[in-house]
Amino acid sequence: MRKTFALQLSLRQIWSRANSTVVRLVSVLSMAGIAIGVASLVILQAFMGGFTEAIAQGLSRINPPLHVFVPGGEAMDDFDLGAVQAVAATVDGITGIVGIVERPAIVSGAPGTVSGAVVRGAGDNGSVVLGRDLALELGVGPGDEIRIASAAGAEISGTGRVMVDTIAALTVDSVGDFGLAEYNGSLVQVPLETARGIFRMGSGLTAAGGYISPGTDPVRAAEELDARLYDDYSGGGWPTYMSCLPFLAFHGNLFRALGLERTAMTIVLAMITVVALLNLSSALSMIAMEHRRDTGVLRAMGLRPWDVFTVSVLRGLILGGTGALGGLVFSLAAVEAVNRFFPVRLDGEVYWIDVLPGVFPAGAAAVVTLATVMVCVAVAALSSVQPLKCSPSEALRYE
Amino acid sequence: MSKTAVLDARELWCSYGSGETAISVIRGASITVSRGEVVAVTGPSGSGKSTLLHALGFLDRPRGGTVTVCGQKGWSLGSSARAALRNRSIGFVFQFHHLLEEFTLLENVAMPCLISGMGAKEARKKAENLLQRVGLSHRMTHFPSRVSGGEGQRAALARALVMEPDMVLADEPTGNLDGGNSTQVQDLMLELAAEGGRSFVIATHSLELASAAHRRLRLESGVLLEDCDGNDS
Repeated sequence: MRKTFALQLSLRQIWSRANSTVVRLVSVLSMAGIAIGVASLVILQAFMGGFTEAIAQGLSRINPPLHVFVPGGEAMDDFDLGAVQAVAATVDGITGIVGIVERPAIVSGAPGTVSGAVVRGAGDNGSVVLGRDLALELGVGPGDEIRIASAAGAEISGTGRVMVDTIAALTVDSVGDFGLAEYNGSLVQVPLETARGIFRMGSGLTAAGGYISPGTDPVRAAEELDARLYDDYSGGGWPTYMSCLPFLAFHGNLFRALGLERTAMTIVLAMITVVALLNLSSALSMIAMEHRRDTGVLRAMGLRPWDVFTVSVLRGLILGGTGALGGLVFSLAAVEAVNRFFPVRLDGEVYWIDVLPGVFPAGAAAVVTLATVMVCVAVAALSSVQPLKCSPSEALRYE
Repeated sequence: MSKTAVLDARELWCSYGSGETAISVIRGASITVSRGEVVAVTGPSGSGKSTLLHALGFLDRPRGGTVTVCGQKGWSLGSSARAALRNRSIGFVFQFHHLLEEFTLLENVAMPCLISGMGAKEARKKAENLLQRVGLSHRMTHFPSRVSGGEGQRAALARALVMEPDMVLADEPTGNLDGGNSTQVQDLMLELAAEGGRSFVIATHSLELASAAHRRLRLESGVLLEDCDGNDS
């Protein structure tokens, strides 16, 4: 039998007006069920993935992907930084190591304003940048002056008054969006040496940050650098024990929680797809039953059992494939529509980001679609068992 | 089996059910049909005429006996080879036309060709010629639900002949038609049998059709007998 004829036969058995309304309705409903199942799964992955990625990107925007630190919270210095830089140069994918100073401070701007802030100096950053929400709170913009007071200069007098003699006056170069509401509301980026001065750290550093080349896995790079640093320390090459972790590992609990939620929701939505597949199964059985006598006639004309199986599988492929592709297209359109026309606003104080981004998960979408189509084919193959068991003579007697 | 025999069935036993409840319908029936011969099988309702035809056409496996069509023992073949033998050598006409409702008459008639793997153009051409021959050239694009019973049965006859089979098995082909249509289909069947030198085995209640056959057999209590007096019950 020619494949085109098998396809034509399958299509007509599903769509032809000669079919009963019930068969056509059940066909449409089973396709819609598959489409909804696939779309739900893909849209969930798009927005859960988008949310997680936005948080990760926000965290990575100002923080280098690798974080080198002294366990126990002890400070590093430029000598330690030099050692880390020398070791990192031997690790594939690490492109540079910079010193970081990051400490809490008090910032004031326009008269009467004051706010807690995190002052951060890193690498060769040469300008003063304020988080946009902090700038708004302090009532300042580019060119305005802010004052930063650090606890490092605080002394308690005999009368119990706190004396602060380290107050730095800085001119704001720009106001920035650091990607996360938390950073936008508290971060002040300053040159490294300025930060050291504010906190009276001399050549000290609170940590070092490592950059990697595009495509390098930060987890692998961090593990390798950490192992080399440990070898160097235990071999007596350097007196300070330093460790390295991927920066996002410091927020591991958040990402694990998001991952767990995503898995749980995926399981729930996969159940919808399973229900749709059960519906498809009953639709295919109904179509097979409706065309039982026709199958007998076709077998009398010389249709082989294999051809009966092929036609059954094609029916499943048409219904399941159309439904799955419909769901895929719908989910792509829905993600684009939300991103472009109907943005989902979030409270930045709660969710860290202001807008929920949808990132179409091409890989996951392909897996969901293909898996659904494959299960549809398997369901269709099962639905062919009954017609195959039935002899042509028995099928012909069926009314 | 003689050299010119298209069909040779020996000692066929057919039954329904199994064990103690089994009902034997055909009891050791034998039949030989020569090329171009038209054989009528008569018998009362429920005598097993359809069962016999289904066994002869490899649609239902008999409990015992052999069926040879064009020198091939169909029940000894694999299911695919048996299907190919049915497609190539046997045409079926049923009491009801059993045309596929989703396809036009032309598509229905072309179907055995498409099943055989023939190209769509060639199949269409053959179907057109046959529909023209059975007087349905004006109905080619019509769906079965839009044609009369007689027209549907003529289309079914065309479908049975489109692969130019060696033998046609017709199961009460006029049983569901009124007098006029019945005569028309009957005449057409006999004409086509004569034209193509094709063998026909026709199960029928119609005395008129049976008397037009070259040979008449009577199925009685599951046994196939030569019928000389033309009685039917």
